[in-house]
Amino acid sequence: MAVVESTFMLTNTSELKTEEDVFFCSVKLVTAYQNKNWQLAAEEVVRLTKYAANKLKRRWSTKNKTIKKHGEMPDYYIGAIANIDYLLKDAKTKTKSNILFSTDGTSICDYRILCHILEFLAKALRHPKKKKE
Amino acid sequence: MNYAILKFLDCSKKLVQAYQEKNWAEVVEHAGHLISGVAELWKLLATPTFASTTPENAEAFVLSDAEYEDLENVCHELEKTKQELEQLSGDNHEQLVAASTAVDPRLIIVIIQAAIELYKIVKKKLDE
Repeated sequence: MAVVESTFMLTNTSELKTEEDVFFCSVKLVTAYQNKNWQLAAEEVVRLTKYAANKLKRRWSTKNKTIKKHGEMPDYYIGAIANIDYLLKDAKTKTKSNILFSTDGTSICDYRILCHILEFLAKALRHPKKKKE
Repeated sequence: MNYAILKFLDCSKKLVQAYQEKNWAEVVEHAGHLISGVAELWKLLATPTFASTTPENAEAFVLSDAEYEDLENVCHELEKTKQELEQLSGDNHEQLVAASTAVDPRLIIVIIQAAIELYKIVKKKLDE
C-alpha cells in the first residue's frame, strides 16, 4: 500500500536555541493551555520537545568528554520547569476526560499523551539531577 | 498510511534494534526522534481537520493488515524494552554511566511510555 501524504502537513516552527527561548516558549505554552488553544499549545510542545531531545543527545554524547554531571541549574530552566510542573499537575487531574475541545471547538487536547510529554520535558530539563548530599 | 505514523513506527523499530545491540549512541538518537514524533503526532491529533472525519482523514488512517500487525508488534517490542530498561534503572544505571555512556535509562523509559500510550490511541482510532 502506498504512503498517503497527509493533507495536514506539520508547519515549520522555529528552533529553540537558548535557555531564554525555552523559558519564553514555556510561558507561551501556559498561556495557550489556559486559553484552551490546543493548536498553539501543540506548536509550543513540539518546539520544547525537540529542544529537550537535543539537549539529552548532546549531554549523552560519548564524544562529549567534558560533561558536567551535576551542574547548577540555569535560572531560565527553573522558570520553565515551574511552568511545566504547573501544567503537568493540572493535566493529570484531567486525564479521566481524555480529550477536551478547545474554547472555539475546533481542536482537541488528549491529556493522556500531553501528561507523558510534559513528564518527559520536566525530567529532561532537570537532568542531570543534583546528587543528594 | 499517514506519513507521521509511518515515521513514528520507523523510529520505534530503530530504537528497539539499537537497544538490543546495546548501541547507546543510536538509542539516544532514536529516542530523541521518537519523543519528537510523539509530540508531532499529538499535535496532529489536535488539528481540526484531523479531529473531523473527512474522507482524507479516513484514508490517512487506513492500514493494511500487515501494517496493523506491524503496529501491534512494535508496541509489544516497546513494552518489552521498557521492562528491560526498568531493570537497568536502579543501581545498574551507575554501572552504565561508569562503563561507556551517560544515558539515563529512566528518561528512555519515559519516552517509550509516551510512545506506547500514543500507539494505544492510534490503535483505538483504527479500531473505531
